[in-house]
Parts: sequence; structure tokens; C-alpha cells
Amino acid sequence: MLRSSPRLHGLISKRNHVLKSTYFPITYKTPTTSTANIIISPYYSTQATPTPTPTEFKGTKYKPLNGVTLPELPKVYKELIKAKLGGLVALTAMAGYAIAPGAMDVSSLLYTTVGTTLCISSANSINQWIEIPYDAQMLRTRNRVLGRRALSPFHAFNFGVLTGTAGVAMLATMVNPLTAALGAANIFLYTAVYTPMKRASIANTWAGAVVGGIPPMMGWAAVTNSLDPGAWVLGAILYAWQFPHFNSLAWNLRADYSKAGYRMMSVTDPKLNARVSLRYSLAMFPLCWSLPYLDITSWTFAADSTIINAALLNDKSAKQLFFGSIMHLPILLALMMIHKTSKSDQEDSYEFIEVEEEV
Amino acid sequence: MLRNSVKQFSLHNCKRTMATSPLKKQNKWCESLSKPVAADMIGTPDPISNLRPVKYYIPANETSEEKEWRESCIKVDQFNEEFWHRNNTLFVNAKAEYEAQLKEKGEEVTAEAMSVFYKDFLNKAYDRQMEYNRTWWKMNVAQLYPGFKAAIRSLKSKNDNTLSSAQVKGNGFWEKSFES
Repeated sequence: MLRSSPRLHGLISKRNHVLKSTYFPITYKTPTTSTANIIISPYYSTQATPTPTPTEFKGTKYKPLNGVTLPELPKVYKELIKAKLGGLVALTAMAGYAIAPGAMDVSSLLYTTVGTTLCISSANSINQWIEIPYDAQMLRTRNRVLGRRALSPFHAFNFGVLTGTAGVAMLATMVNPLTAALGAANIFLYTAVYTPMKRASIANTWAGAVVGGIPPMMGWAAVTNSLDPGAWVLGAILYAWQFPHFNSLAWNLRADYSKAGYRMMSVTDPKLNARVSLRYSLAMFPLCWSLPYLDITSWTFAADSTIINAALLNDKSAKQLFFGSIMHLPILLALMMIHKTSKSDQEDSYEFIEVEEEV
Repeated sequence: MLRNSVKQFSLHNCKRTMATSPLKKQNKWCESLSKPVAADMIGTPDPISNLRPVKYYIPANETSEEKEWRESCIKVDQFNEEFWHRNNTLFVNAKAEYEAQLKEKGEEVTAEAMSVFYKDFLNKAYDRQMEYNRTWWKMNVAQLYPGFKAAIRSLKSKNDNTLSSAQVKGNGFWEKSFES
């Protein structure tokens, strides 16, 4: 019973517990190298960062920090902007462009894609600039550009601001102001809302999902210069997709998140984590069905998407779900584009309405 | 066994003869330096704080502005190092303590049991972490303008502390050790 008193203290006085809880020892204690550690280590594969004991640690090794040379710069920039992830997001924007009703113009598609990619690069660079010490704490992100000082923080920040300005300006001048506004809002949401919220509240996942939902809406707005119901449905589909994708990743990283102080529901409420993931996986069904309802795709898409979404529901483990979600999204977007209602189909429906009005 | 060693020998020879470029400058990690190097040094990640320590090179003709910039960089690095060292030590100790408690009660250390610990640790650390977050964000922004000035200075000045220029000048690590 005495052992549980630190918890009680935590409930009573959130500030004073720092002094009284056994979780905050007064003197530094070296981690124990007891055999107990060896016996219980098979149980937590979630601990991605094994902390070596003082007996194993062989000392810090140094190497000269040569600044990045000009030929190396493109490769470093690609790492800074998280090129692979950015590329996938740009693909969703292109899918939004392709699915929107209207004439397809190659130059406008090019400007939309380049502009969106610049906006994404900006957001990712500034995010990495903000999260330098936090990224170092997690094994997955430990060797990022700023952590290993390949670039100075000022350089990364500057790069982020420049690409953001260039991206928004390109969208505003070569595409339309609505797309530019969405791009600017997305950069702001990612860097100034989602990134700090990751440390403060589990609501960050919802904010981050909005960030994922905006790029296809940008693609749509680039074609029609308006946000039709179809754009909102497409955004909602991407928004819903974020949850099974992110929650499954977060489940395996709970130990690292807890240690590094990230507030994720996979740590604070694992059951909620699973429920939310399931909830939004189920929401994908009606969202996909509303696309043919709005006459954006044919009804065959309703059947196809049901099969694909059911496959996502079927994934049993978090790892399966994560990799499943990465396969699921491109397939879904491709199906949308395949089943897109052609221009003649749309014209037919307009003619039909006109005839009715005459009568 | 003789066959294996012959194979290895010929393979090794193969590699050397097929090399199209001369021995490239090696960015090897070194434990001790025979001569001082005229460049900033970065270390392997600290086992406790996970941050890489950086030793800044002090040139002979350092101006007061450069000194101020270097000292502010050191201050930020020290602040981060201190926080994460303390935080990670607390985590490791608290985790070991929790596991000991579980074993005392005779329960297995499963992922579900650890989830309870992770949640508790995260919630207890909230105030401490938010205070660190705010301070770090402020420091990071505050470093931008001096960082800009430092970048301008390094563009203008002839003081190049990188390895490539040190090699040109002849006081890079490899030049020194071969000459002496």
C-alpha cells in the first residue's frame, strides 16, 4: 500500500509530486544490470531504445564536423523534407486533381504538384527544426539531418521558409488563390498546431489528420477553384485514413513516446487508440459510397472500395494494419480514378435536368 | 580452411584492383587524436540522453561576436543534455522499479502491464515536459537571429573550420598524422 502512495500524491498535488514520488530519486542511480533484465526482455519488444549499462559503454567517439558540401546538398535536402512521405502526399494531391470534374490541363497539374510539394517540404523542414532534441530520443528518427548536424538549425529554418513562400506564391499565381490559401493553412496547421500539440494533448492526432486531408482538396480546388461536396468527401476519406495509419504506428512506439514525453493515445488510452482506429476504418465505407452518390465515380467504385476497405478491417496486428494502410491508400485512389465518371456521363445528367425544367 | 583463406585473400585483392578512385577521405570515428583538429567535432549519441555532444573549435583569432555565438550554442546544448539525461534516467529507474514491483507480486511482465507504467510515467512527467518544451521553443527561436549573423560571418570570413579546408591548409587530421 505504501508503494501506491506516490500515485495518490500525483492525484492530489500535480506540482508537489515531483518531490515526493519515488519516480524522482534524489541521487542518480545507475541502471541495474541484474539478471532480471535478461529474463524479462523478451516481453517488451516495444522498447526500441536499449539503454546500455555503464559496464558496456565504451566512451564517446568524435569525428570532425565537416559542413555539407555543395554536391551533397540535394541528398541532405531530400532527407530534410522527408522526400518519400512528401512524395506520397503529393500523389494524393494529384489524385484530387485527377478526380475533380473538369478539363485536365497538364501545365496546371504540373504547377499544382510542384507547388504542393514545395508546401509539404516547407512544413516538414520546419517540423524537423522544431523537433531536434525530440527526434534524437526515438530510434526511428535519431539520424535525422539536424540531429547529426549535417545542417545548422538556421539553414533548415531558412530552407523551410523559402520553400513555403515559393510554394504558396507558385500556387497563388499559377493556379488559383484558393489552392494557395489551403497550402498556407496546411503549413501553419502542421508546424504551429500539430507539432506543439504532440507534446501537449492527444488531440494532436485529429489535428494531424486534418493536415493529411487537405492536399487532395488542394488538388480538387486547383481544377474547379471551389470546394464542392466532392472535395470535402475526398478530404474526409484521407482524414479518416490517417487514423488506422497513425494509430497502428503509434502502438508499437508507446515506450519511446512515453519516455520522450509525446502525448499519444496509444500511451494514455490504448483502448481508445484501437477504438478510434476501428471507428474511422468503418467510416471509410460510407465515405467511399458517397462518391458515386455525388456522381463523381461510377457505382462499381462502391463495390470495389468495399472490398478494399474490408481488407483494411481484416488486419489483425498493428504492424499488419500499418503496412496494410500504406498499400490500401494508393489502391483506393487508383480505383477512384479508374471509375471516375467521364465528361459525357456528366453532360448527359445535365441535359436530363434541363429537359425536366422545360416540361 | 586453406581454401577459405585463399578465397578471402583473392577477394581482398579483387577489391583493391577494381577500385576506381583513390582512397577517399575517411570519416572514421576516432577514439583519441594525436594532433588537434581545426574543426568542430561531433560525437556518437550519448547513451543516456541520446543527444550527440558537440565540441566547438575555438580559432586563435576569435572575435567577441563569434565567442558569444559559440557560448550560446554551448548553453543550448547543455540545457538539452541536462534535461534529457535527467528524464531518461528517471524513466529507466522508474521502469526497473515497476518491474521489480511486478515480480514481487508474482505477476508476469507483459506488454499490457508495461502500458500501465508508460501511461503513468507520461502523465507524471507532463508539467516537467511542458516547461522544457516552452523553454526549448523560445531558445530555438532566439538562436535564429544570431545564427543568421553567424552564417553571414562564415560566408564573409576566411575562417573555415571544416575538414575539407583544413585538409587544404594542411592541418587536417590525416595530413598531420602522416607528416609527423
